[in-house]
Amino acid sequence: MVSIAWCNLAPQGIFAPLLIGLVAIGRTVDRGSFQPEARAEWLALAGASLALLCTPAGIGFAPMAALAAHLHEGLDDVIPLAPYLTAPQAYYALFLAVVVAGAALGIARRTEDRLLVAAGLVLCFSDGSTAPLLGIIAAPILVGTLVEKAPAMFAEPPARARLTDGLIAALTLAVALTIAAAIHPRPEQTLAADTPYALLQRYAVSSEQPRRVLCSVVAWCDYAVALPRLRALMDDRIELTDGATRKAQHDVTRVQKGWKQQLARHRIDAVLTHRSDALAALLVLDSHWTAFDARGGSVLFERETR
Amino acid sequence: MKYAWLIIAVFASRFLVGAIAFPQIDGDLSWQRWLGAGILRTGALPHSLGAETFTAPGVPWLPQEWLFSILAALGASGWGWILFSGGVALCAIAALALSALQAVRRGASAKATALCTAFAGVGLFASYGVRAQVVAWPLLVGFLALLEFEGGVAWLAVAVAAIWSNFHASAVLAPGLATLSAIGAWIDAGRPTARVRRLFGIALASLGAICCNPFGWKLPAYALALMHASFKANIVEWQPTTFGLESFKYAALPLLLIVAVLGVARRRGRHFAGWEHVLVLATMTWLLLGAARNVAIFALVAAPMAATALTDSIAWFARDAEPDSRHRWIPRIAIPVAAMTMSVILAALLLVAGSSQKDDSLALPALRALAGMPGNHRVICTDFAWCGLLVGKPGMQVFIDGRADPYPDKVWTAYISITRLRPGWRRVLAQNAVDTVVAGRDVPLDQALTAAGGWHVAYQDAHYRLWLLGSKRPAADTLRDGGA
Repeated sequence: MVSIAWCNLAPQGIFAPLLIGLVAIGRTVDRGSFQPEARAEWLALAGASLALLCTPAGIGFAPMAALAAHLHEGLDDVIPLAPYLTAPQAYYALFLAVVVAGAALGIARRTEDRLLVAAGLVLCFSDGSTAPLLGIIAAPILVGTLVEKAPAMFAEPPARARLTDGLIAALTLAVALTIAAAIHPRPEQTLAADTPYALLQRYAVSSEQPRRVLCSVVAWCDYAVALPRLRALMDDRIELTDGATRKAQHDVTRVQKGWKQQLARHRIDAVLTHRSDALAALLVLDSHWTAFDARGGSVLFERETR
Repeated sequence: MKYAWLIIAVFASRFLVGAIAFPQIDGDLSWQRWLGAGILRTGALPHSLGAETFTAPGVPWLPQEWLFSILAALGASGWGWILFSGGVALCAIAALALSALQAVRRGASAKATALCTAFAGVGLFASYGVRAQVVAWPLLVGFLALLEFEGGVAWLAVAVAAIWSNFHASAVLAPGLATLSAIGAWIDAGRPTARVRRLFGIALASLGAICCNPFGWKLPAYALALMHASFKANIVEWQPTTFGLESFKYAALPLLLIVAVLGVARRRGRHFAGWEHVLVLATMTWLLLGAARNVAIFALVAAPMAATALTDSIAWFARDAEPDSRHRWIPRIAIPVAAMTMSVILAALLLVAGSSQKDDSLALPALRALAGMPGNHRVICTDFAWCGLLVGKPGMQVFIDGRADPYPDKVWTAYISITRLRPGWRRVLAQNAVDTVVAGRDVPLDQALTAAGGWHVAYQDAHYRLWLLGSKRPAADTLRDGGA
């Protein structure tokens, strides 16, 4: 049931069979042979696999979710995946914490825990956006190991101490939520200050014709989805793209050989990019393109219609 | 160790053939030979950049690879080259062998040692070449191995640190690693034992040892300053390690997973290999995360830890039983013979079917064409390492070259502005009076010069273009098109 809910909420639901499979393998290895008790885990694995079919996308969910969850070779050509880019604050801290704690403690004797932590590390290295998953997997396992290794230090506290701990935790949570609510910007403020959005919005209302736009930062084109008459070559819905589209995005943003042909082939009318990108400099030198508008560090080029 | 020799033999072939037959993977060797020849001629080390660059003449320079450069100059050709490049390859092989021996010394089984040595060998590929840092590899592994010895032998680590500092600035790691080992040993023992005191002594002595070079205290100061140098953002191998890097994915990551999941802290005989190893591992992991060029040293240091962890935790890897007397010939004769046979076969295959000097990645045809042109040239290369081949050449001055470190930030900023077409790139190009551009074909600057006008192509082939300032076309015989 959890797998079905997960698959219908997020593409990362595709990890469910993987995680259950690792637990099943770990338990089977620890028991030394396939015993009747293992049936539950293997049935759960079968169930989680079937859950992949229980979404509106049906049989198409797995390949689509694999793309959306960034489990696809070469995606880092068009979107940032490296953990030092997508999770810069967590990069050193998270990996060092897990590796050093694991090296010092040794993950608890259960093979399933070892496999889960290893899988979490691999997923996180391959796509930094899975850093929370690594934390969720590794934290209880490492804490459990610590408690196992140093039981005296983590003996059950008296009732009074437990009550105090609970109150401190509740107070900390309330303060954190208050701070978060106070400093979190309102959506309209965020959009107004966002130069890529402002440029795309102005471009969208400048003509009644439908037009196609390419953004050198894929996430910028998420705005184009909500703006009238604009269609992006590629936005963050990576599962909607094919290999040719991703190659075009890569070739143009990295000004690879043939990038101008890619722009023509995909009938791109406008390019939104950083002012400091080589792409901007080359479009300035191209008589077929003119700067439509520039704000902050971004510039939007428009193809000459004549 | 018996299976590890097979693995080491295979890598030895690859390293030796790669170093001797296909020497250059970047342009550093050229300026290092020039530096070494200059030291041999004058008997003095340069302390600043000279007229070989037009952007930063007179800027202080600490040629930390001075000893390697002298050897490079002495071994520039013929048998000298074979000895020099073969020696560098032997350093990589020695590092791998020392790492494997360290695993065995810590009680790892033959199977676990072989597997982790294979991972470590793959990890060396990313940075391997006839390079000064390769000479530092066995010195790092040897230094750490000596720290684990009991008695006076451990003090040899100080001598290793001194030698290390004359080859590469990474010697600055020595006192840090010794201090961490001492702290770890103290935590493990729970009191300042004789070994702990000795390790602290070695750490202190190492601090002095890394100043035993022509630069004295300036070498560690330089190495520490390098940690925060902004120019590193422009060099690929200084970028944080990513999953896309093959040597990380297939070497460092497996070793990292093994030590993180199985742990390295455990009691082994009389020794407690606990925090001492964990702290060293943490340092190497930090270095690994920070720069792709550190994959190799991480793999060499982590391999023995991983082999020991596998041996202790997984039954299949557990220590092998002694073979009975009827099968003693296998480790004594069969395995060495198999190792040598594999090594020879692989070397032959690499020489016949491996990459050759025709697979140029240093713009050699364009640079040769430039060398044949009269007059003086102020040259910028879209890959700064290519310009290393022009250092010291008559009539040539470079914008930036593979020495990289001494060039000031403002020069790097100007270089990046030009090569990545940042706003105002044409102005920066003109301000620096650059009159020659060696460009990869279709890289941004190449495309921009094509579109911008005011420059003409003096040489081109499928991979490179040589641009000269001015619209006047050269004589027909100098404009060759080797392109497809």
